[in-house]
Amino acid sequence: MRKFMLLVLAGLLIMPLAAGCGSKKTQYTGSTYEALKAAFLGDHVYFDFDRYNIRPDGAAIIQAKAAFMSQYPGVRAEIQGHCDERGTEVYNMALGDRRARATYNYITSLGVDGSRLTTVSYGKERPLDPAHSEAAWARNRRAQFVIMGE
Amino acid sequence: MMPLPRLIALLSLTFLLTGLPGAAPAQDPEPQPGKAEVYIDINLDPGQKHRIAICDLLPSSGSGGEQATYLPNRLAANLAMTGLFTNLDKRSFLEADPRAGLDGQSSPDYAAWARLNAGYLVKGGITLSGSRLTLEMRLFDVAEKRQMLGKRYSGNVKDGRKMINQFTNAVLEAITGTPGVFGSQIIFASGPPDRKSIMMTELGGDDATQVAGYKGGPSTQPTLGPGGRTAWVHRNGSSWELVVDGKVVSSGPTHLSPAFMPNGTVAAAYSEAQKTSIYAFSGRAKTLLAGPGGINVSPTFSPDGSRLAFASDLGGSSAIYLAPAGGGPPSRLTNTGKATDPAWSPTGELIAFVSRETDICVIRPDGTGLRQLTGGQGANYRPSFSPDGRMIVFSSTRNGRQQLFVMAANGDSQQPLMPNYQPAQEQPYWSPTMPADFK
Repeated sequence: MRKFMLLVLAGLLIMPLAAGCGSKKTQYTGSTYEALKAAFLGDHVYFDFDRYNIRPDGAAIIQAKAAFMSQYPGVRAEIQGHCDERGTEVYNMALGDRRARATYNYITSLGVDGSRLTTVSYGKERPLDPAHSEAAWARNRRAQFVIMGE
Repeated sequence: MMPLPRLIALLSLTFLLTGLPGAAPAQDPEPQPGKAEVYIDINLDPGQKHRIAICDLLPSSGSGGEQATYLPNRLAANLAMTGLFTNLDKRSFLEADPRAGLDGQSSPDYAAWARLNAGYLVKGGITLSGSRLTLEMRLFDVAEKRQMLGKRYSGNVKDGRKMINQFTNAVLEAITGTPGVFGSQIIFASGPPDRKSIMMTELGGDDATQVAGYKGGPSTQPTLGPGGRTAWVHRNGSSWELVVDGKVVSSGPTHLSPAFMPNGTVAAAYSEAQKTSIYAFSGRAKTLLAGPGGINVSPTFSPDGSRLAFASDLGGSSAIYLAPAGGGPPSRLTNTGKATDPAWSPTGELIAFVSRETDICVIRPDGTGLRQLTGGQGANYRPSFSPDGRMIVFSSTRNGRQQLFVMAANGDSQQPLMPNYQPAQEQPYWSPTMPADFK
């Protein structure tokens, strides 16, 4: 009996820790959350060719993401920086890094705690659109949010 | 310019061959009347190529096996790769006694080779005894009617290619006055974009060996330093590592484009909150070298170590800048549109770079002598000079895949480094020194 109580206590202690440490268990449910989450994952921050400054349309997207993260404080995310296929590996890796960092800098300036976010650059490794056109390139120059815990 | 007697000889030979039915197969590319084959390219410095005849190796006894043709073919491929030589077609060889000149007493039939307008001739003997291979290689000057070189190589049969690389270097020294750099190492990244591993090959090689395999993320942007030292970057999840001589020396945010300074210190680009700057990494400490723009990457150092060139977006779009390696204001080197991937020649005379995300250019460090070396053939990235500064390795998509190419430093003779190597190849870097066991 004493052993059982200890196990329950230990479980109670571990549960919130696990939820905060990338457990697959989701603490948020419901259609509102799912709809907002879909936008969080699907709306990207787009950039001009060879640039990493946040455009007005990108700022609006980031503001929506900041609101989502404020509403659901258990959500943690990775900001991925991406580039179009043109140019050298090194420069694109740096450019993607700057895009992710600029997005991070803006969203943390809106009050989101930086410890809930990481950044990574994939350079030109992971295009959304594999076509070789201006339209595809514009879609691939982006900062993209991926949920790492919720 | 082509000397007049040779031009006449070439034209009369052409007449002779075309005048004799069956003497010259239709697919035989040599020689063609009216073709200025002695010129490298009308857009480049006019330069004459050396015409050389390379014979299959003759076994001293028994059979030389596949090596008897493979090794001279490697020699021919090596010489063609320098952009300085035209190899004569073996099917046109006319000499009656193929062993003439092989014994050190007799002479080749110089007149027969002169009729082919051959400037130089290579003959060799091969002895295969178990796994032991012996090559006796001779280089003849056809016009002067003399042997220029006689070299004997002996070792394991798997070292045949190395022997040929050493002989190639000796031939280049005898004919051009400067030894070649065949056998020098080239490190590169290979594989799909997010699964790249680090591989090593050599000039004169046709395959590669693995230096570092895939480990949870790509390893890429490898470089070589003094004494065969290595450095590259590795992405592990969202964390990056700077790997020097196989050990992680720095990790965390994005690390890019490591390069050895001549004193052995490693410099690399390192991402911080507001900018990506170039640091020197020494033990756990790091020192800022250059960071004038928001993006500052791809350091490369002058041979004396006093200056670095790097790519920076200080002026808006990326350009190549120079700065004192000890710190100081940068000066802009290029004004050609977007410029990235600079590489300083080991001789110090040139800096190669990628212009407008497509083509390899070179420029002198004083800003003069700008010259475009590739054009209209895919995207060409990451140039790197050979140890003697006479060749450049780079990656190109011109054959529909990522592939390493080499060319002469004037842009001539662009060709795949390893035509038969299938995996994607990119991010090449040429060792600044020859391996210790090469002269």
